[in-house]
Amino acid sequence: MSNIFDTEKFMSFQEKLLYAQLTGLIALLVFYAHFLQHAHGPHYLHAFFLIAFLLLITFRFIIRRSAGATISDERDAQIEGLGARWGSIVFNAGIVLILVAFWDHGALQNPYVLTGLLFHVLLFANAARIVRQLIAYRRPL
Amino acid sequence: MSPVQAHITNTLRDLRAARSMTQQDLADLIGVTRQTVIAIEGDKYSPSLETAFRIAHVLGVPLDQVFQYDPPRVRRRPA
Repeated sequence: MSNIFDTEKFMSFQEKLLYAQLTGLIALLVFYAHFLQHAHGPHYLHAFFLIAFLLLITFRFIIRRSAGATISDERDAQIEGLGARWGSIVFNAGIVLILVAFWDHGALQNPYVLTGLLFHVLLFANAARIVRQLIAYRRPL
Repeated sequence: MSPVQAHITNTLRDLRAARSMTQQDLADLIGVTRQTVIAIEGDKYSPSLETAFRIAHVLGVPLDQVFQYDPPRVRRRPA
């Protein structure tokens, strides 16, 4: 229940959601790093997680659209756009770095390396998006 | 980038309190979340023109009574 002089003492729903997403990403990254250290043979799990991650992003988008759960608040929409821009910058920078790295080496010798790199780029891009949004919720826009 | 950032302040908190209106009440009336109302009152967010007009309309006051614009002071180089 809010009163007349309420201030933003606690986290909003959007911030809680972002922290949950960030925790999930970190857990995934830790698991992945652990797997990389102890994996032997073909890294099928790399591909599995990469596909699962891509599907999650796709389904999230489709479900939100179909359920009509689009952002209606103008500040939330602005913050989401800001986060998306940062995520896009990190993703594009990562892809360019991968391309330059493979260009430097001349040929793609191990497809698992590429899968791993793409996985990390996706994780970092999403982490950048979430962190930027969390900052935007606490700083003046 | 401008040398000094423009600043928009508001008296939303006082106007709302004078009407015994909660942040949630106002948020519902103008179609934003309570967090957005908190951000506007704390000068952390400048609303869109449409939302600003909606706030003024709900409170029944002219726009310039809710929002005040402090124009940026441009530093002039000595001649």
